[in-house]
Amino acid sequence: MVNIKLEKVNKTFGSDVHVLKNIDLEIKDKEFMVLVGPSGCGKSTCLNIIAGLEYVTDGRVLYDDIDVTYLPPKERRVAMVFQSYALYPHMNVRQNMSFSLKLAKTKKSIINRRVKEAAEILGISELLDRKPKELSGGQRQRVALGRCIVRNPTVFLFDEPLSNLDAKLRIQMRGELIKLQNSLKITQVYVTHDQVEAMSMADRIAILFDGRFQQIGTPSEVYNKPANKFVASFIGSPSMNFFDATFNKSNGKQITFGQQKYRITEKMAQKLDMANSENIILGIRPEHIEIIPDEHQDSFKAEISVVEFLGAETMITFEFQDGMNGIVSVPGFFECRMGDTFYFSFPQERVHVFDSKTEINLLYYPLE
Amino acid sequence: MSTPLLEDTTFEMSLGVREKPPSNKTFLISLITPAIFIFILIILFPIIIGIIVSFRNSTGVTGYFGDRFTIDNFYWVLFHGGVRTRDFWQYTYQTLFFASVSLIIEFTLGLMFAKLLNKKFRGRGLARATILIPWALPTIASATIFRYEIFAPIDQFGLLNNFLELLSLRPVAFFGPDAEVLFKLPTLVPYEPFITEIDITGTMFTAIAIDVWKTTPFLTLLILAVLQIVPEDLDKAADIAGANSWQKFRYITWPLIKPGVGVALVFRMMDALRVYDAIIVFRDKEVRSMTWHAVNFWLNAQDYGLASVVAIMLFLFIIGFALLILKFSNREKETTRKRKLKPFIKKKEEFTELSSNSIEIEYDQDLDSIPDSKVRLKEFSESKIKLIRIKLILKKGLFAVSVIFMCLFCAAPFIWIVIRSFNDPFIPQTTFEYRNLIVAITLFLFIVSLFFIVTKFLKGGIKKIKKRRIKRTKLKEKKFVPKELSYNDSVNKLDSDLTSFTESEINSEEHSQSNLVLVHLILRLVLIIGLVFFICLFGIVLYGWLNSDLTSVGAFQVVFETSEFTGVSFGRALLNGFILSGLTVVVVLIIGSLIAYALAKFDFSGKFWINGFIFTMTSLPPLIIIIPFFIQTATTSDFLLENRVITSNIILVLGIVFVGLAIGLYLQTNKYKKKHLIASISIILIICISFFIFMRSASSDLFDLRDNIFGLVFPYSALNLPLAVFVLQAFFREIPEDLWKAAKVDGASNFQIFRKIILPLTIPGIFTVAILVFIASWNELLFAQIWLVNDINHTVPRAILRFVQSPLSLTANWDTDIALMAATTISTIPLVILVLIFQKKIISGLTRGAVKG
Repeated sequence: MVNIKLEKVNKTFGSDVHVLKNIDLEIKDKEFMVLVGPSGCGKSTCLNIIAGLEYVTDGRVLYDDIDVTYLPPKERRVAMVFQSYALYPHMNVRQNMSFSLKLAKTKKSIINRRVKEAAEILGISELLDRKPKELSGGQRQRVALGRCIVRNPTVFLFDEPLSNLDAKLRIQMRGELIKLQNSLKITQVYVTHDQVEAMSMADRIAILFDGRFQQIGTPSEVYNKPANKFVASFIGSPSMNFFDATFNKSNGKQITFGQQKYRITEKMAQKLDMANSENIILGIRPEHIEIIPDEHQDSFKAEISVVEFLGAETMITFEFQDGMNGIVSVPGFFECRMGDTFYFSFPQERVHVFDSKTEINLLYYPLE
Repeated sequence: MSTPLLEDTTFEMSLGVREKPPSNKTFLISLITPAIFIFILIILFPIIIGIIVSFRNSTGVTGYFGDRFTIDNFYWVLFHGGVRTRDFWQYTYQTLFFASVSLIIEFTLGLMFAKLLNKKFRGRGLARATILIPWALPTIASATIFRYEIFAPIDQFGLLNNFLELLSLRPVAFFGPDAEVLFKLPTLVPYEPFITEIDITGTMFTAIAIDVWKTTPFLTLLILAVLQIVPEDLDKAADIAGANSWQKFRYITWPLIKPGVGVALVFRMMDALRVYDAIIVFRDKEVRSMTWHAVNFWLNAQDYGLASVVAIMLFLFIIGFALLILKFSNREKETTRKRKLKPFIKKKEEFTELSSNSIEIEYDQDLDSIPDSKVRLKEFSESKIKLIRIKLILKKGLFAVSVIFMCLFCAAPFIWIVIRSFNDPFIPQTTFEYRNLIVAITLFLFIVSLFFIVTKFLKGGIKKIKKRRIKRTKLKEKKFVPKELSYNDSVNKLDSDLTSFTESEINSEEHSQSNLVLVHLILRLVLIIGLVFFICLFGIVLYGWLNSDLTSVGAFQVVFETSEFTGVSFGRALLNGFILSGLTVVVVLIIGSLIAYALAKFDFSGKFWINGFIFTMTSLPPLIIIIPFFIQTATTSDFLLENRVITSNIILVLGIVFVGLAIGLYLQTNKYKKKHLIASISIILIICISFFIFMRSASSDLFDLRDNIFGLVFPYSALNLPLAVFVLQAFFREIPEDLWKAAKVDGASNFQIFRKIILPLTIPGIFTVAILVFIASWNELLFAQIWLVNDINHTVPRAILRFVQSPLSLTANWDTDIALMAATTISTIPLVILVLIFQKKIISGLTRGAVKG
């Protein structure tokens, strides 16, 4: 229900810990924005700054173009779901849900109505008189959501809300959260370290690393057109294969990595030429490597060193003759054994090329 | 689909744009101020005054501050070489001797007790409760009882000596040859050379015994708390590595608990060095502690300067020893400790890996490499299992014996007190009454057997029978499965054999399965009948004893009678103690919870200093503040007395408003608004009423804080504050950060969070602190003795002292010992019951406090 903007936000703890470095972020109204990144990258700090639980060292936070930089969460009217749910253990579900309204001195009849409605939406009407410790993980999760809904908040904030659930329940709750988002239509900011969660739920994903946003974009953007090597390696499982390679204009349209040579198109060559960098990193996702039955001029030959059968798919770790290795993911019915040799190729449109120094994706973001 | 619930709200701001983040400063200041105030008033000022006084020629003649600057006080006490110097060094030496010997004994016993109590066994709750008993008794009472009852010579019906005689052993003179030290008034000792040898069979022995009995429980609790940090997995890993119990202790437990134990020892050392109550009972001029020495200077010689010097010296000693012990316990560096632990940590990892099935392949290979593993295991189980079983039974027996010893050690003196207090005080006893002894033993057995009936046969019994039945049916199913023990199985079986051999019995003797349950049932029935029979027997013995000529409630009547000898009745002392302790608890809880919250949840610049203050408060001997604080109070009192009309009105109104507000704030939560309102109003009313009753009957002026229990509330609070802060801080820290954030997001202010979220969640901690503080201030003697002169103002320990110290007790026509016992019984039974009921909370509260604080 609001449009949130972070402008040139810096956050430091003490004198030497620089958590957020001059970040900009715009979260559009009714958008589901996911902040994702490895642990310790500052994503929770970022969320806390949006919530008003922590304040920026430098920069501005805007809600609908109103400066809320130094306003406490109470006045921003945000709602938040925590990793541990943070239900008040000494209050029952009803009291938990109505606590914020009570503090705001809302009339009793309104409180009761809102609690009832929220409980109906979430299907927890029967649990209202129970204490949090009498609830299961999923139910607690719902109560935490309910506590947010009753407040009619400006923005929903989620701080890794699913990481305390077991795998099965997590997938179920993920589905329910997506459903809820579709029906509530409210601005939501969601923090997670799980890229699968991020991909499946987000309207847009902001990948945070080392205090900076590495890329902000839709799930398909960050998957198909990763801005840099970090994003490429972080999004997607198993992680993208990287090969240290060189590109020299004089050698023609080909990239050399180890003893292998990879022919590229005219267009790619131009782009790489423009970037004017000789040492590059060639990247391709395991699921994009194509296995071919026979050797031909664009194929590579490698030996299978490890086979991991996962059911629907099989992960094969291969090794080139020069010792470089990578992973390829193939359908589960593919039959192979350790020590076999096989042939494969890298489809042109699926390959990524990164600068080895700046690690920027040279194919999609050549100008940066 | 849009829900009616979420109206499309745009964000509007009621306040202007803020330039700075909102700060917690005001809230923090309001949290910290009361504690700082107490610190300055009770600790800082008095220390400064104390140092000033020590440099003045202040005596009873020249007044508190004397009339000129002098360093004579230090010279006289430390270097002069005369009587005073000799006395000082003599008593310092004795104090150090006392502290170190009792510390060593307490530490050994405490470690043993803690190890015992750290194991899980049936009746652990009761055992833990019994070790709290000595600690709930006032030191002065326990000291007196040890002195006049338990260690007394044979002709004075001392329990131990008569017991020894009964066993036809030689009686021991626990006070040395001269038992009549009671009425030797402390006079100036003629010049004698410094005596380095201490007659440990005399008063010193008894004093140490008293101290050991009294404070081992406390040390046990601290060590128990430290033991909690040893992870259970590590123990299991060591088991797998094949360490025996001594090795386990030496290489795993000890290195891990060493720093924690060091801290615990520091606390005890501080306490032991400032010993007062345990020694004063003997009135033996040869054995004195530094504190008593200073008090003697103050009360008898009226040499204020000299007293201050002794106090300052004691303070320096305590700080020195604390640093020494801390250094000693931290001597071993982290790295070496880790190196020693390494094999066990490795084993632990292996163990956890073994228990998961993830590495089955490796496991099989392992099996291949040990070809004869099956055979070897079988051999082992057949030849040695019996030996192991016998060992286990022996171990269990030893364990049971030591637990019983521990319980006896802690509870026996208390039981003896209770029994003795029912003796008729008007019939002079000419011989030692063995009937008392018999009844005491009976009572002990009675309680134990009653406990076992309640827990073992009524609670656990039914469950166990059910379990057995399930097991039996399972075994029947198993019967037809061909028996092929793999390596894994045999290990499991061995394991289960070791842990409970009853189970393995069932396993091995499958043919007698059906009879076994029946046998168990019959055995159980027989045991129950036997125990019931015993209880009846005990009941008869107790009944007979109660109706014999030996017993009466005369002692209790004497205690509550107002007479020339006892001065004011004991009931008055109980009331005084209750008011004083209650007020102290309220003050400590308010101030302590505020400062503890600030320390636990906020980071601010002065944190280091505040922690420093609190540590100073713990290490401070009360002695160093007591004298200057008395001077401070005297001056204040004079001022108050001059402006009495105005101050009286202000204080009354302020006091009632403050107490009312505080209680209201503390008790009021959202849920039971009205209920708590009524409760708080009634509490305020009770306080007001007792206040006015007190005013009416007070002999001295209310504003004369010199001889007034209200003058003691603040020093008591200051002395108990550190403990409260440690315990509460741990409780506050345990509240997850997310909860705090959630409340913040929900729109609660700092104070609302504290009141509605934090406080309701820490009620167990608050409760623990309340009990601890109540007991501590209920039993405090040193301050009470200097402050409360008039009989009507006496607190409980002070009143107890009245029964033994007064020379008039010679002329009393009843047995003063029995009256003393009765007084002790009355004053401690409520505390003991309180402790017994809430032992779980107290122990868990203390444990948490010690581990994290």
